[in-house]
Amino acid sequence: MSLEVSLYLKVAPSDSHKPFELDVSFCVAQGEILGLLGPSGSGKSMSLRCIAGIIHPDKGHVRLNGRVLFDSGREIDLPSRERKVGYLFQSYALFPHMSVIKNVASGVGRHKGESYREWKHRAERYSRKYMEMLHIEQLASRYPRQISGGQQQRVALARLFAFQPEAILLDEPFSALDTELKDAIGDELKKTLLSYGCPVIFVSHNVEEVKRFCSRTIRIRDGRLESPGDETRKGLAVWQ
Amino acid sequence: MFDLSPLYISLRAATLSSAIVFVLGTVVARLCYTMQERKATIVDTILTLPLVLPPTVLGFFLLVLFGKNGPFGILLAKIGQRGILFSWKASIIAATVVSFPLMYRSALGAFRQIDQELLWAGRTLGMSEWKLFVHVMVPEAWPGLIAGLALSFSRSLGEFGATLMIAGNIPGKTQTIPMAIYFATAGGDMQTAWIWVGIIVAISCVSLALTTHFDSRRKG
Repeated sequence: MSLEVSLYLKVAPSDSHKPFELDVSFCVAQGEILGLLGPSGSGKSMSLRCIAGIIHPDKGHVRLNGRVLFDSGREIDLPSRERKVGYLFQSYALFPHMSVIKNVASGVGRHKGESYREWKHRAERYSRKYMEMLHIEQLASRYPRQISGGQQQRVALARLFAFQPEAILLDEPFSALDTELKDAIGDELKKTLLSYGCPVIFVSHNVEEVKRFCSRTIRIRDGRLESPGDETRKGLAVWQ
Repeated sequence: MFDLSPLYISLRAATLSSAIVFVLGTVVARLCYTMQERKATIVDTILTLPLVLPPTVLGFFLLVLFGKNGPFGILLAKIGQRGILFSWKASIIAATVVSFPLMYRSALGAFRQIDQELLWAGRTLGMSEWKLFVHVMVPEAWPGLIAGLALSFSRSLGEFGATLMIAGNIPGKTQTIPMAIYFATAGGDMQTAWIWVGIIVAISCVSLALTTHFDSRRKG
Protein backbone atom coordinates (compact mmCIF):
# COMPACT_ATOMS: atom_id res chain seq x y z
CA MET A 1 0.00 0.00 0.00
CA SER A 2 1.56 3.27 -1.06
CA LEU A 3 1.62 6.26 -3.32
CA GLU A 4 3.57 5.82 -6.56
CA VAL A 5 4.27 8.90 -8.61
CA SER A 6 5.88 9.47 -11.98
CA LEU A 7 5.33 12.83 -13.63
CA TYR A 8 6.44 14.56 -16.78
CA LEU A 9 5.14 18.00 -17.63
CA LYS A 10 6.43 20.65 -20.00
CA VAL A 11 5.29 24.22 -19.43
CA ALA A 12 5.66 26.52 -22.43
CA PRO A 13 7.36 29.85 -21.75
CA SER A 14 5.17 32.92 -21.34
CA ASP A 15 5.68 36.59 -20.54
CA SER A 16 5.98 35.88 -16.84
CA HIS A 17 8.08 32.70 -16.72
CA LYS A 18 10.79 30.75 -18.49
CA PRO A 19 10.05 27.34 -20.03
CA PHE A 20 9.91 24.69 -17.34
CA GLU A 21 10.18 20.94 -17.41
CA LEU A 22 9.06 18.75 -14.53
CA ASP A 23 10.35 15.19 -14.58
CA VAL A 24 10.13 13.33 -11.28
CA SER A 25 9.37 9.83 -9.98
CA PHE A 26 9.13 8.68 -6.40
CA CYS A 27 7.23 6.44 -4.01
CA VAL A 28 5.83 7.09 -0.57
CA ALA A 29 5.03 4.17 1.69
CA GLN A 30 2.08 3.82 4.04
CA GLY A 31 2.81 5.72 7.24
CA GLU A 32 5.85 7.44 5.78
CA ILE A 33 6.40 11.20 5.68
CA LEU A 34 8.40 12.03 2.59
CA GLY A 35 10.10 15.42 2.54
CA LEU A 36 10.27 17.12 -0.84
CA LEU A 37 12.96 19.75 -0.43
CA GLY A 38 13.83 22.42 -2.95
CA PRO A 39 14.05 26.15 -3.64
CA SER A 40 11.00 28.05 -4.83
CA GLY A 41 10.21 27.44 -8.49
CA SER A 42 11.79 24.00 -8.42
CA GLY A 43 8.52 22.19 -9.07
CA LYS A 44 7.60 21.05 -5.54
CA SER A 45 4.13 22.53 -5.47
CA MET A 46 3.61 21.62 -9.10
CA SER A 47 4.26 17.97 -8.26
CA LEU A 48 1.69 18.11 -5.46
CA ARG A 49 -0.81 19.75 -7.79
CA CYS A 50 -0.34 16.97 -10.32
CA ILE A 51 -0.96 14.34 -7.66
CA ALA A 52 -4.11 16.12 -6.47
CA GLY A 53 -5.43 16.50 -10.03
CA ILE A 54 -5.28 20.30 -10.05
CA ILE A 55 -2.91 20.34 -12.99
CA HIS A 56 -2.54 17.59 -15.54
CA PRO A 57 0.87 16.19 -16.46
CA ASP A 58 1.67 15.30 -20.07
CA LYS A 59 2.98 11.88 -19.24
CA GLY A 60 3.37 9.54 -16.29
CA HIS A 61 1.21 7.87 -13.69
CA VAL A 62 -0.08 8.33 -10.16
CA ARG A 63 -1.19 5.25 -8.25
CA LEU A 64 -2.57 5.23 -4.74
CA ASN A 65 -3.14 1.98 -2.86
CA GLY A 66 -3.59 0.10 -6.12
CA ARG A 67 -6.01 2.67 -7.53
CA VAL A 68 -4.92 4.44 -10.71
CA LEU A 69 -5.47 8.19 -10.32
CA PHE A 70 -3.64 9.16 -13.45
CA ASP A 71 -2.10 7.17 -16.29
CA SER A 72 -1.24 8.88 -19.56
CA GLY A 73 -0.78 5.54 -21.33
CA ARG A 74 -4.26 4.33 -20.41
CA GLU A 75 -5.83 7.80 -20.67
CA ILE A 76 -6.99 7.71 -17.08
CA ASP A 77 -7.28 11.06 -15.31
CA LEU A 78 -9.57 11.04 -12.29
CA PRO A 79 -11.01 14.42 -11.25
CA SER A 80 -9.70 15.80 -7.95
CA ARG A 81 -13.01 15.06 -6.29
CA GLU A 82 -12.60 11.30 -6.78
CA ARG A 83 -8.93 11.00 -5.83
CA LYS A 84 -9.22 10.99 -2.04
CA VAL A 85 -5.99 12.94 -1.78
CA GLY A 86 -6.00 15.52 1.00
CA TYR A 87 -4.22 18.77 0.15
CA LEU A 88 -3.15 21.26 2.80
CA PHE A 89 -2.74 24.56 0.98
CA GLN A 90 -0.15 27.10 2.02
CA SER A 91 -2.96 29.58 2.72
CA TYR A 92 -5.01 26.76 4.37
CA ALA A 93 -7.93 27.70 2.07
CA LEU A 94 -10.57 27.62 4.81
CA PHE A 95 -14.05 28.60 3.64
CA PRO A 96 -14.38 32.13 5.10
CA HIS A 97 -18.17 32.19 5.50
CA MET A 98 -18.36 28.77 7.23
CA SER A 99 -17.86 28.30 10.95
CA VAL A 100 -14.95 26.13 12.06
CA ILE A 101 -17.12 23.05 12.55
CA LYS A 102 -18.81 23.52 9.16
CA ASN A 103 -15.37 23.81 7.58
CA VAL A 104 -14.22 20.60 9.23
CA ALA A 105 -17.41 18.78 8.23
CA SER A 106 -17.39 20.07 4.64
CA GLY A 107 -15.30 17.19 3.35
CA VAL A 108 -17.42 14.40 4.87
CA GLY A 109 -19.21 12.99 1.85
CA ARG A 110 -22.55 11.23 1.88
CA HIS A 111 -22.39 7.46 1.53
CA LYS A 112 -24.68 5.60 -0.84
CA GLY A 113 -27.97 4.70 0.80
CA GLU A 114 -27.32 6.95 3.78
CA SER A 115 -30.18 9.21 4.85
CA TYR A 116 -29.62 12.94 5.18
CA ARG A 117 -29.85 12.76 8.99
CA GLU A 118 -27.46 9.83 9.29
CA TRP A 119 -24.98 11.67 7.09
CA LYS A 120 -25.20 14.90 9.12
CA HIS A 121 -24.78 12.88 12.33
CA ARG A 122 -21.71 11.12 11.03
CA ALA A 123 -20.23 14.39 9.74
CA GLU A 124 -20.71 15.93 13.19
CA ARG A 125 -19.15 12.89 14.92
CA TYR A 126 -16.10 12.86 12.64
CA SER A 127 -15.63 16.60 12.97
CA ARG A 128 -15.82 16.50 16.79
CA LYS A 129 -13.36 13.61 16.89
CA TYR A 130 -10.66 15.34 14.88
CA MET A 131 -11.29 18.75 16.42
CA GLU A 132 -10.72 17.17 19.82
CA MET A 133 -7.60 15.44 18.56
CA LEU A 134 -6.18 18.77 17.41
CA HIS A 135 -7.47 20.68 20.47
CA ILE A 136 -9.72 23.09 18.62
CA GLU A 137 -13.12 21.88 19.86
CA GLN A 138 -13.65 25.17 21.71
CA LEU A 139 -13.45 27.05 18.38
CA ALA A 140 -16.38 25.19 16.78
CA SER A 141 -18.65 28.19 16.23
CA ARG A 142 -15.94 30.75 15.37
CA TYR A 143 -15.15 31.88 11.84
CA PRO A 144 -11.73 31.53 10.20
CA ARG A 145 -11.02 35.29 10.32
CA GLN A 146 -11.58 35.25 14.09
CA ILE A 147 -8.85 32.72 14.89
CA SER A 148 -5.04 32.79 14.76
CA GLY A 149 -2.80 31.34 12.04
CA GLY A 150 -1.86 28.33 14.14
CA GLN A 151 -5.50 27.62 14.89
CA GLN A 152 -6.38 28.00 11.20
CA GLN A 153 -3.79 25.38 10.37
CA ARG A 154 -5.32 22.96 12.87
CA VAL A 155 -8.76 23.56 11.42
CA ALA A 156 -7.44 22.83 7.94
CA LEU A 157 -5.84 19.62 9.23
CA ALA A 158 -8.97 18.55 11.09
CA ARG A 159 -10.87 19.13 7.84
CA LEU A 160 -8.38 16.90 6.02
CA PHE A 161 -8.63 14.08 8.56
CA ALA A 162 -12.44 14.23 8.71
CA PHE A 163 -12.41 13.79 4.93
CA GLN A 164 -10.52 10.49 5.49
CA PRO A 165 -8.01 10.86 2.67
CA GLU A 166 -5.83 8.00 1.51
CA ALA A 167 -2.84 10.28 1.09
CA ILE A 168 -1.97 13.70 2.50
CA LEU A 169 -0.05 16.48 0.75
CA LEU A 170 1.33 19.32 2.86
CA ASP A 171 2.38 22.41 0.90
CA GLU A 172 4.74 24.50 3.06
CA PRO A 173 2.48 23.97 6.07
CA PHE A 174 4.61 26.11 8.38
CA SER A 175 5.24 29.07 6.10
CA ALA A 176 2.43 31.13 7.64
CA LEU A 177 3.50 30.43 11.25
CA ASP A 178 6.20 32.07 13.36
CA THR A 179 9.17 30.02 14.59
CA GLU A 180 7.91 29.46 18.13
CA LEU A 181 4.56 28.21 16.97
CA LYS A 182 6.25 26.05 14.38
CA ASP A 183 8.29 24.28 17.06
CA ALA A 184 5.25 23.84 19.27
CA ILE A 185 3.06 22.42 16.55
CA GLY A 186 5.64 20.42 14.60
CA ASP A 187 6.14 17.42 16.90
CA GLU A 188 2.48 17.07 17.64
CA LEU A 189 1.53 17.28 13.99
CA LYS A 190 4.10 14.63 13.16
CA LYS A 191 2.66 12.31 15.81
CA THR A 192 -0.88 12.89 14.54
CA LEU A 193 0.13 12.19 10.95
CA LEU A 194 2.03 9.03 11.85
CA SER A 195 -0.90 7.72 13.89
CA TYR A 196 -3.27 8.41 10.98
CA GLY A 197 -0.90 6.30 8.89
CA CYS A 198 -1.24 7.16 5.21
CA PRO A 199 1.44 8.27 2.74
CA VAL A 200 2.33 11.90 3.44
CA ILE A 201 4.34 14.30 1.27
CA PHE A 202 5.77 17.34 2.99
CA VAL A 203 6.92 20.14 0.71
CA SER A 204 9.33 22.76 2.03
CA HIS A 205 12.31 24.92 1.17
CA ASN A 206 13.62 24.75 4.74
CA VAL A 207 16.22 22.01 5.45
CA GLU A 208 15.78 22.14 9.24
CA GLU A 209 12.04 21.72 8.98
CA VAL A 210 12.30 18.75 6.67
CA LYS A 211 14.98 17.06 8.79
CA ARG A 212 12.87 17.30 11.92
CA PHE A 213 9.63 16.38 10.37
CA CYS A 214 10.20 13.73 7.72
CA SER A 215 11.10 10.06 7.66
CA ARG A 216 12.95 10.47 4.37
CA THR A 217 13.94 13.39 2.17
CA ILE A 218 14.40 13.89 -1.53
CA ARG A 219 15.74 17.08 -3.09
CA ILE A 220 14.28 18.69 -6.17
CA ARG A 221 15.89 21.34 -8.37
CA ASP A 222 14.70 22.77 -11.71
CA GLY A 223 12.02 20.14 -12.02
CA ARG A 224 14.33 17.16 -11.46
CA LEU A 225 15.20 15.04 -8.46
CA GLU A 226 18.82 15.03 -7.41
CA SER A 227 20.11 11.48 -7.88
CA PRO A 228 16.62 10.28 -8.79
CA GLY A 229 17.64 6.65 -9.37
CA ASP A 230 18.75 6.08 -5.80
CA GLU A 231 15.72 7.72 -4.32
CA THR A 232 13.25 5.76 -6.38
CA ARG A 233 14.95 2.53 -5.38
CA LYS A 234 14.97 3.49 -1.73
CA GLY A 235 11.30 4.39 -1.97
CA LEU A 236 10.46 1.07 -3.55
CA ALA A 237 12.45 -0.79 -0.89
CA VAL A 238 10.32 0.72 1.83
CA TRP A 239 7.19 0.05 -0.15
CA GLN A 240 8.01 -3.61 -0.75
CA MET B 1 -58.36 61.11 -8.12
CA PHE B 2 -54.68 60.50 -8.78
CA ASP B 3 -54.09 57.23 -10.70
CA LEU B 4 -51.54 55.10 -8.85
CA SER B 5 -51.57 52.20 -11.33
CA PRO B 6 -48.15 53.11 -12.89
CA LEU B 7 -46.55 52.54 -9.46
CA TYR B 8 -48.02 49.07 -9.22
CA ILE B 9 -47.16 48.22 -12.83
CA SER B 10 -43.59 49.46 -12.46
CA LEU B 11 -42.96 47.66 -9.18
CA ARG B 12 -44.43 44.44 -10.52
CA ALA B 13 -42.28 44.57 -13.66
CA ALA B 14 -39.12 45.50 -11.74
CA THR B 15 -39.61 42.92 -8.97
CA LEU B 16 -40.47 40.00 -11.23
CA SER B 17 -37.82 40.80 -13.81
CA SER B 18 -35.06 41.25 -11.22
CA ALA B 19 -36.04 37.95 -9.59
CA ILE B 20 -35.78 36.20 -12.98
CA VAL B 21 -32.57 38.00 -13.85
CA PHE B 22 -30.98 37.25 -10.45
CA VAL B 23 -31.32 33.49 -10.92
CA LEU B 24 -30.68 33.46 -14.66
CA GLY B 25 -27.74 35.87 -14.53
CA THR B 26 -26.06 33.94 -11.71
CA VAL B 27 -26.47 30.57 -13.39
CA VAL B 28 -25.35 31.81 -16.82
CA ALA B 29 -22.35 33.56 -15.23
CA ARG B 30 -21.42 30.28 -13.53
CA LEU B 31 -21.60 28.46 -16.88
CA CYS B 32 -19.44 31.10 -18.58
CA TYR B 33 -16.99 31.00 -15.69
CA THR B 34 -15.69 27.56 -16.67
CA MET B 35 -15.95 28.01 -20.45
CA GLN B 36 -12.84 27.98 -22.63
CA GLU B 37 -11.46 31.44 -23.21
CA ARG B 38 -12.38 31.82 -26.87
CA LYS B 39 -15.91 30.49 -26.45
CA ALA B 40 -16.38 32.65 -23.35
CA THR B 41 -15.42 35.80 -25.27
CA ILE B 42 -18.05 35.15 -27.93
CA VAL B 43 -20.78 34.31 -25.41
CA ASP B 44 -19.78 37.29 -23.27
CA THR B 45 -20.09 39.65 -26.24
CA ILE B 46 -23.56 38.37 -27.12
CA LEU B 47 -24.81 38.51 -23.54
CA THR B 48 -23.46 42.02 -22.95
CA LEU B 49 -24.92 43.39 -26.18
CA PRO B 50 -28.24 44.47 -24.58
CA LEU B 51 -26.22 46.78 -22.36
CA VAL B 52 -24.74 48.77 -25.22
CA LEU B 53 -27.54 48.60 -27.79
CA PRO B 54 -30.06 51.45 -27.73
CA PRO B 55 -33.20 50.26 -25.91
CA THR B 56 -35.33 51.04 -28.95
CA VAL B 57 -33.19 48.67 -31.03
CA LEU B 58 -33.68 45.98 -28.38
CA GLY B 59 -37.38 46.70 -28.42
CA PHE B 60 -37.38 46.35 -32.17
CA PHE B 61 -35.69 42.93 -31.97
CA LEU B 62 -38.12 41.81 -29.28
CA LEU B 63 -41.03 43.01 -31.40
CA VAL B 64 -39.78 40.87 -34.28
CA LEU B 65 -39.02 37.83 -32.09
CA PHE B 66 -42.26 37.90 -30.11
CA GLY B 67 -44.49 39.07 -32.95
CA LYS B 68 -47.17 36.89 -34.52
CA ASN B 69 -44.70 35.54 -37.10
CA GLY B 70 -41.59 35.64 -34.89
CA PRO B 71 -40.08 32.38 -33.58
CA PHE B 72 -41.01 33.06 -29.94
CA GLY B 73 -44.41 34.37 -30.95
CA ILE B 74 -45.20 31.14 -32.80
CA LEU B 75 -43.85 29.05 -29.92
CA LEU B 76 -45.93 30.94 -27.36
CA ALA B 77 -49.03 30.69 -29.54
CA LYS B 78 -48.59 26.90 -29.51
CA ILE B 79 -48.76 26.80 -25.69
CA GLY B 80 -51.79 29.07 -25.70
CA GLN B 81 -50.03 32.36 -24.95
CA ARG B 82 -51.36 34.59 -27.69
CA GLY B 83 -50.97 38.33 -27.78
CA ILE B 84 -48.17 38.68 -25.28
CA LEU B 85 -47.09 41.96 -26.89
CA PHE B 86 -48.66 45.12 -25.43
CA SER B 87 -49.70 43.24 -22.30
CA TRP B 88 -48.20 43.48 -18.80
CA LYS B 89 -46.07 40.43 -19.59
CA ALA B 90 -44.33 42.37 -22.36
CA SER B 91 -43.13 44.98 -19.88
CA ILE B 92 -41.55 42.18 -17.82
CA ILE B 93 -39.82 40.74 -20.91
CA ALA B 94 -38.43 44.17 -21.80
CA ALA B 95 -37.20 44.82 -18.26
CA THR B 96 -35.63 41.33 -18.05
CA VAL B 97 -33.72 41.62 -21.32
CA VAL B 98 -32.49 45.13 -20.58
CA SER B 99 -31.29 44.39 -17.03
CA PHE B 100 -29.86 40.91 -17.65
CA PRO B 101 -26.33 42.05 -18.65
CA LEU B 102 -25.96 44.06 -15.44
CA MET B 103 -26.68 41.01 -13.28
CA TYR B 104 -24.67 38.65 -15.45
CA ARG B 105 -21.59 40.88 -15.47
CA SER B 106 -21.72 41.55 -11.73
CA ALA B 107 -22.03 37.83 -11.02
CA LEU B 108 -19.23 36.86 -13.41
CA GLY B 109 -16.95 39.53 -11.94
CA ALA B 110 -17.72 38.32 -8.43
CA PHE B 111 -17.04 34.68 -9.36
CA ARG B 112 -13.74 35.60 -11.01
CA GLN B 113 -12.57 37.24 -7.79
CA ILE B 114 -12.97 34.07 -5.75
CA ASP B 115 -9.67 32.62 -4.62
CA GLN B 116 -8.94 29.61 -6.84
CA GLU B 117 -7.39 27.74 -3.93
CA LEU B 118 -10.74 27.74 -2.13
CA LEU B 119 -12.33 26.00 -5.09
CA TRP B 120 -9.51 23.50 -5.39
CA ALA B 121 -9.68 22.85 -1.65
CA GLY B 122 -13.37 22.04 -2.12
CA ARG B 123 -12.69 19.76 -5.06
CA THR B 124 -9.90 17.83 -3.35
CA LEU B 125 -12.30 17.39 -0.41
CA GLY B 126 -14.65 15.57 -2.73
CA MET B 127 -17.22 18.32 -3.20
CA SER B 128 -19.20 18.19 -6.45
CA GLU B 129 -19.30 21.26 -8.69
CA TRP B 130 -22.91 21.83 -7.66
CA LYS B 131 -22.12 21.66 -3.95
CA LEU B 132 -19.17 23.95 -4.53
CA PHE B 133 -21.42 26.43 -6.35
CA VAL B 134 -24.07 26.48 -3.61
CA HIS B 135 -21.84 26.29 -0.54
CA VAL B 136 -18.72 28.16 -1.63
CA MET B 137 -19.14 30.23 -4.79
CA VAL B 138 -22.50 31.86 -4.10
CA PRO B 139 -21.71 32.80 -0.47
CA GLU B 140 -18.29 34.08 -1.51
CA ALA B 141 -19.72 36.12 -4.37
CA TRP B 142 -22.77 37.28 -2.37
CA PRO B 143 -21.91 41.01 -2.12
CA GLY B 144 -21.35 41.09 -5.88
CA LEU B 145 -24.59 39.25 -6.53
CA ILE B 146 -26.56 41.66 -4.33
CA ALA B 147 -24.95 44.63 -6.07
CA GLY B 148 -25.97 43.11 -9.40
CA LEU B 149 -29.51 42.66 -8.13
CA ALA B 150 -29.72 46.30 -7.04
CA LEU B 151 -28.42 47.48 -10.41
CA SER B 152 -30.87 45.27 -12.29
CA PHE B 153 -33.78 46.42 -10.16
CA SER B 154 -32.97 50.09 -10.72
CA ARG B 155 -32.46 49.53 -14.43
CA SER B 156 -35.80 47.71 -14.72
CA LEU B 157 -37.58 50.44 -12.80
CA GLY B 158 -36.25 53.07 -15.19
CA GLU B 159 -36.83 51.03 -18.35
CA PHE B 160 -38.40 53.20 -21.04
CA GLY B 161 -37.34 52.57 -24.64
CA ALA B 162 -37.77 48.83 -25.07
CA THR B 163 -40.91 48.85 -22.92
CA LEU B 164 -42.51 51.54 -25.07
CA MET B 165 -41.70 49.51 -28.19
CA ILE B 166 -43.23 46.21 -27.06
CA ALA B 167 -45.60 47.06 -24.21
CA GLY B 168 -46.73 50.49 -25.27
CA ASN B 169 -48.31 53.13 -23.08
CA ILE B 170 -51.71 51.80 -22.11
CA PRO B 171 -52.85 53.55 -18.90
CA GLY B 172 -53.78 51.04 -16.20
CA LYS B 173 -52.28 48.17 -18.18
CA THR B 174 -48.75 48.83 -19.35
CA GLN B 175 -48.11 52.42 -18.34
CA THR B 176 -45.07 52.39 -16.05
CA ILE B 177 -43.77 55.33 -14.01
CA PRO B 178 -41.18 56.51 -16.61
CA MET B 179 -43.94 56.32 -19.21
CA ALA B 180 -46.29 58.34 -17.01
CA ILE B 181 -43.56 60.96 -16.48
CA TYR B 182 -42.89 61.28 -20.19
CA PHE B 183 -46.51 61.59 -21.22
CA ALA B 184 -47.43 63.88 -18.33
CA THR B 185 -44.55 66.19 -19.24
CA ALA B 186 -45.40 66.05 -22.94
CA GLY B 187 -48.99 66.95 -22.08
CA GLY B 188 -47.89 69.87 -19.88
CA ASP B 189 -49.14 68.22 -16.65
CA MET B 190 -46.10 69.20 -14.57
CA GLN B 191 -47.76 68.40 -11.24
CA THR B 192 -48.27 64.72 -12.11
CA ALA B 193 -44.75 64.54 -13.54
CA TRP B 194 -43.30 65.96 -10.32
CA ILE B 195 -45.15 63.43 -8.18
CA TRP B 196 -43.83 60.50 -10.22
CA VAL B 197 -40.31 61.88 -10.30
CA GLY B 198 -40.43 62.14 -6.51
CA ILE B 199 -41.70 58.58 -6.13
CA ILE B 200 -39.03 57.09 -8.40
CA VAL B 201 -36.25 58.99 -6.64
CA ALA B 202 -37.57 57.71 -3.30
CA ILE B 203 -37.74 54.09 -4.46
CA SER B 204 -34.20 54.29 -5.88
CA CYS B 205 -32.86 55.71 -2.61
CA VAL B 206 -34.57 52.98 -0.58
CA SER B 207 -33.23 50.18 -2.78
CA LEU B 208 -29.73 51.66 -2.62
CA ALA B 209 -29.92 52.00 1.17
CA LEU B 210 -31.15 48.42 1.53
CA THR B 211 -28.23 47.14 -0.54
CA THR B 212 -25.70 49.03 1.54
CA HIS B 213 -27.39 47.77 4.69
CA PHE B 214 -27.21 44.12 3.58
CA ASP B 215 -23.63 44.52 2.54
CA SER B 216 -22.48 46.05 5.82
CA ARG B 217 -24.40 43.50 7.88
CA ARG B 218 -22.66 40.71 6.04
CA LYS B 219 -19.25 42.15 6.67
CA GLY B 220 -20.25 42.48 10.31
